[in-house]
Amino acid sequence: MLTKTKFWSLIALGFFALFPIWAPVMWNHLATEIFIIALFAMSLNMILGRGGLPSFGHACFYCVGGYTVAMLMMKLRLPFGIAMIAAPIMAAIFAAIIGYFSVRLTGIHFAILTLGFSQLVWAVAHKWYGFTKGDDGITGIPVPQALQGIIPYYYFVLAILIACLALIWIIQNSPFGSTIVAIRENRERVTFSGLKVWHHLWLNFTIGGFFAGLAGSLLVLLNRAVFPDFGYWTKSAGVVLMCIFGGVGVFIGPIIGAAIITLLEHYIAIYTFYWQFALGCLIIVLVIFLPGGICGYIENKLRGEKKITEEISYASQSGGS
Amino acid sequence: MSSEVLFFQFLSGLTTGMIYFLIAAGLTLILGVLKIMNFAQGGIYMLGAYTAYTFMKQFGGTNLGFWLTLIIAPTAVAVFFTLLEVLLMRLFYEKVALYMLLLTYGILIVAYDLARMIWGWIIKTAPMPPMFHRSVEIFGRPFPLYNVFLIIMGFFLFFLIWFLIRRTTWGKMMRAAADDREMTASLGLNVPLIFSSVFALGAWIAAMGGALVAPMGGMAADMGIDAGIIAFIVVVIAGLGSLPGALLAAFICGEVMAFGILILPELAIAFIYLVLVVVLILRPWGIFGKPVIIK
Amino acid sequence: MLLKVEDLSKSFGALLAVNHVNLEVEQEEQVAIIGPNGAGKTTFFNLLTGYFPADSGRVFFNGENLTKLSSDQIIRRGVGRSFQIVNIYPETSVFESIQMTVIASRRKSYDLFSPAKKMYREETQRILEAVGLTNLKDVPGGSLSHGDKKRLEMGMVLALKPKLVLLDEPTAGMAPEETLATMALVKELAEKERLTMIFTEHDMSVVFAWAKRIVVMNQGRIIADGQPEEIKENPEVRRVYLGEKK
Repeated sequence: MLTKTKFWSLIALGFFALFPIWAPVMWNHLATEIFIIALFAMSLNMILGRGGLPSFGHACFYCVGGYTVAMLMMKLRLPFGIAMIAAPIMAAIFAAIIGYFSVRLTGIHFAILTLGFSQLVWAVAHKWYGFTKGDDGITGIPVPQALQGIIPYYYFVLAILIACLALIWIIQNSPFGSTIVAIRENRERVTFSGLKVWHHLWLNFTIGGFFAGLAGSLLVLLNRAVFPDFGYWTKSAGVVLMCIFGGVGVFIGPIIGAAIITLLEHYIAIYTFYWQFALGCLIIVLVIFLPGGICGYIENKLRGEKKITEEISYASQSGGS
Repeated sequence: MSSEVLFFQFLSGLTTGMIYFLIAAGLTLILGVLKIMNFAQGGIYMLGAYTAYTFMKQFGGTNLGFWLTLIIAPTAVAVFFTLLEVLLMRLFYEKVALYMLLLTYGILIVAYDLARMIWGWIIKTAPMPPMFHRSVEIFGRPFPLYNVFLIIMGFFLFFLIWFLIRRTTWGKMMRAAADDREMTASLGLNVPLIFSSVFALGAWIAAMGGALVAPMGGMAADMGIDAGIIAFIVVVIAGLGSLPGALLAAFICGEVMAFGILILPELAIAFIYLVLVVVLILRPWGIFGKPVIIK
Repeated sequence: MLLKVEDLSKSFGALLAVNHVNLEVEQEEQVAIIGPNGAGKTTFFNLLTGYFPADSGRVFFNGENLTKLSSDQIIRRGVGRSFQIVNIYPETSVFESIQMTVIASRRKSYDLFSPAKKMYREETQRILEAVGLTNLKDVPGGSLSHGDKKRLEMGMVLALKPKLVLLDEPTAGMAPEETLATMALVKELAEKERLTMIFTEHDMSVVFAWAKRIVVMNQGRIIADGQPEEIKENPEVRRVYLGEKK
């Protein structure tokens, strides 16, 4: 059955599949980068939007994924395939450890603990020259023959993105996904349905870390380099921003947010050094006028009429109950 | 390692700790009373430093100029940010905390680029006032007099604020508003005004911290971003809203940095994050904070 | 005997909220616990469901010692609870709220791959009908009227297939007709699903009309336990409720 969602998904898929054929090379590179950051944002939204936990240390797992791939391929000369599989697993391990301590907290305490852990990892990556080459980062990472052109790599990343989105969609619509949403709405009720809340949040956090690590590894192979600021707190804040900008309550919200903000950063940076000024102003405007993010705003507009009709019909029904 | 060297490291840590305290003190007030996670705090500190730099240069690097700057610069910066609070931040007190976080983050990066636009990219140092152009001898080694001054100023400011909070009527109103916003409002007190005054004080301390640090060198817009994080770490280790806690936590962090440099110079900064993580695992509400029920 | 409470006590500072309470409830019994505000009824429920630990005493359910278990563990063993301040999912629809609870009770909450929307639909529908919310199945929980919210909560409790149901002031905040309707529903469900039920109330008329066994609490202690007629005549109960002199 061809639902609206499936229809638009197919259109989007077609568009992106044909994109490299007519687009200039630089746009391919940018598009690939956007796919990767979109995956990163989606991984955060599992924790932030669905789970309701404001993680300000998500860049940590992005960073771990990137460094794992870089170090396995450069130091241990492991093949690409093994490194790509190891990266998200390593990130998931870090997420499991950090999540174990963090999900017991909520709100600001959760935010700060995730921030603290993430900065700790950053500090080690930044300063432990012997192990991670510190500030210099790791460069010159060998990309396998088949993926060396921008076009093959574009399709590779697109394929992985689609697979991950499908997986995330399945997880979010599974009983586990419903449980996470329920926890966000009313923890007590979930506990009194016989479930261990923190256990579920822990698993959710780990899964989020897994996909973030995958995104990090993909970026490293795109740019052939990894640097400590993959894990700096401003990167974590940036991806939180993308989710909120796009809309945390909508499945594709983080993707839209990631795309728009990445495009803005790129194009503003061309005209001025002071792109952070522009970004900052954008954030301020966004937070004041569009609290639901862009998708939330659009959704509200669309739902506006539908909601009014719903409320009228409900009011006429509930009189008798 | 001789005891003189250790003592010197201790003093160095004390200086660093005092700087951390100045950045964090304002945040602990803002976080404790207004309950907002002010990412922009580091930016206020940074702009305080840059503004002081400009004033000190304009006054020709004199002693008088220095003292005048200390009066004018932090006040100017505090007024600027308090205006922002009144115009922008007030809208978000009742909303989900996440939005306030993003708003202050936005203000921080605007401040960052603003500093670069106005003052450029080169690292700056404000002129050291002549009266501090010397060192004291401690255990036969020279220790900058300015550092001593800084430490003393820090303690002075601590007692000043502590006095304001604990011994004045304003302080009582502030604490009441922190505990129970609605109750305080229903008693007829102007809660938004109280909040703004607390914010102004918090901003002033941070800007004063920046101004005091200006002659010590190394001013770059990045100091705002790094300071922002340090402020949070100190405040969270201390426990949200505890001023004495902030002083203690700042010292701990300062000493951890100082001695960390002796042990593993490169990873000194990591030790601070380690302290944060350990505290948050064992006592998530900070050393002096009120226990939070965790399900 | 389904539930045996032995010498249960809990203090909050100087306040002795629950004071050496002993209670035995048989299978399929329906017991009402009444008492003035502050008598300790809700605290008692909180202790039974592991909301916080007791200072002393023990709770046996189905022969098992529940005293030191956490809330989720107790619920999993077959105890369902509704709250005085109704505890539902504000943004999730009625249907999905109940569906979610069925999924939880069938231990499927860790399933990452099945489509949740398709699971246990008949079971959910059955519960919806049992609590009379079929017409409202797509309405978000937060938009319901107070009475409907209570029904939703009851539905979620039923979804857990509990052996023992604890209802904390099920008719709180309701107008008289709604109270009648709610109590009728509760009674119907108890009989149809063969539930053992303990409910707290402080509306006397409700209790005397509906309960076969009444337990009276005051200041943390049980002062009377028996059939409605006995309770009505009990001098201490009269003193506590009606202010009569001994």
